[in-house]
Amino acid sequence: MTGTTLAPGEPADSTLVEAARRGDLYAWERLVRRYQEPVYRIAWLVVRDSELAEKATQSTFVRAFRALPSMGDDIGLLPWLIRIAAGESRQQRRESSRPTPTDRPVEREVAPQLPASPIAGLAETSAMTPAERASLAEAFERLGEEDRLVIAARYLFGLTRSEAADALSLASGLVDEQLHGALARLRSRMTVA
Amino acid sequence: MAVERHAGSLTGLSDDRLGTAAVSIVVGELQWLPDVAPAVMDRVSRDAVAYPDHFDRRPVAPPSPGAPPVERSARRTLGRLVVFAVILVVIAGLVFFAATVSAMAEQATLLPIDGIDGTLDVRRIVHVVTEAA
Repeated sequence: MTGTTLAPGEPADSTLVEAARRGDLYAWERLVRRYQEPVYRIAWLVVRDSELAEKATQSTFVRAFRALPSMGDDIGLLPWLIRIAAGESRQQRRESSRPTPTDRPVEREVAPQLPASPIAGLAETSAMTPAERASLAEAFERLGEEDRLVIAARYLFGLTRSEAADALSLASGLVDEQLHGALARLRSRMTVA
Repeated sequence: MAVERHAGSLTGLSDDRLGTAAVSIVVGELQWLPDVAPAVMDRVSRDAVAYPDHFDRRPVAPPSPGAPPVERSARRTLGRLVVFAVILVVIAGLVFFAATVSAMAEQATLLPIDGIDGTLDVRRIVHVVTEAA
C-alpha cells in the first residue's frame, strides 16, 4: 500500500496534482481530504499532541500547495507529503517550546472531527496481553523520532524502500539499515515489569 | 523490587509483525482525526488571491455540496439572462419616456401660450400633457 485506496471513478493523484498546479483549488481540496489522515498520523507521531499535530497538518498542505510547481515528477505524493509533514511537525514542536509573550490563552477554532480509519495491523495485537501491549507502546515511545518515522513509513503506510527514502530524506541504501536498527532498539526496550 | 523480563510472546515476533503491531497500537489510539480541509482551503485561497503572480493560478471556488457543476452553470446563465432582461426593460422605458416628452414638447410649441416671456409655463405644459394623454 502506497497511498489510499481509490473508489471507482476517483481521479488518480497525478491527475489532481496536475489540475492543482493549473490553479484548480477544488482538485487540491480533494487531495487534502484524501491524505489528511496519513499526514495527521505522521504529525502526531512526531509531536504527540493533538493540537500541534492539527496545526502541523494544516501547514503541511498549505506549504505543499505553494511548493507544487517544484514537486518532482519522480516522487509520489504521499512520500512527498510525509517529508513536508515531518518538517512542519518539528517546526510546530520547536515553536510550542518557546515561551509565549502572554499567558492569555489563544482562542482557536476547533476543526470538525472525522472518524479514524481502522489500522490494518490491529489483528497482530489481538493475542497480546494488556501488559505486552503497554510494553510495546512504551518501547515505541522511547524510540528516537527517526526510528519512529521509519517504522511508520514501512509498516503504517507500506512505503517501498525507495518511497521511504524519499519521505525520510535518506539515501535509498540506508533505509533498510535504519529500519533494522529501529526494530532492534524497539525489541531491546520491550520489558514487562 | 520489580523484576524485569522481556515480554514473552513479543520477542518471538518477526521484524515485520513487530513493526506492524507497534504502529497499530500507538496510532490505533487515535479514534478521531480533525478535518483540516476547510482551514487549509481558506488559507490557500487567500494565498492565491494575495499572490496571483507568484502562484500563476486561476482560483476556482470549490462547488457547494449537492449541486453538480452543470446545474450551477445553468443557474448562473439563467441569473444573467434575468439581469439582462431587466436592464433591457429599463432602457426601453427610458427611451419611450424620452420620446413621449419630446412629442409633447413639440406639440406644446404649436399651441399659443399666453403670457410667455421666454420661460416655460409649467402649468400650461402640464395641461397640454394631460390633454395629449
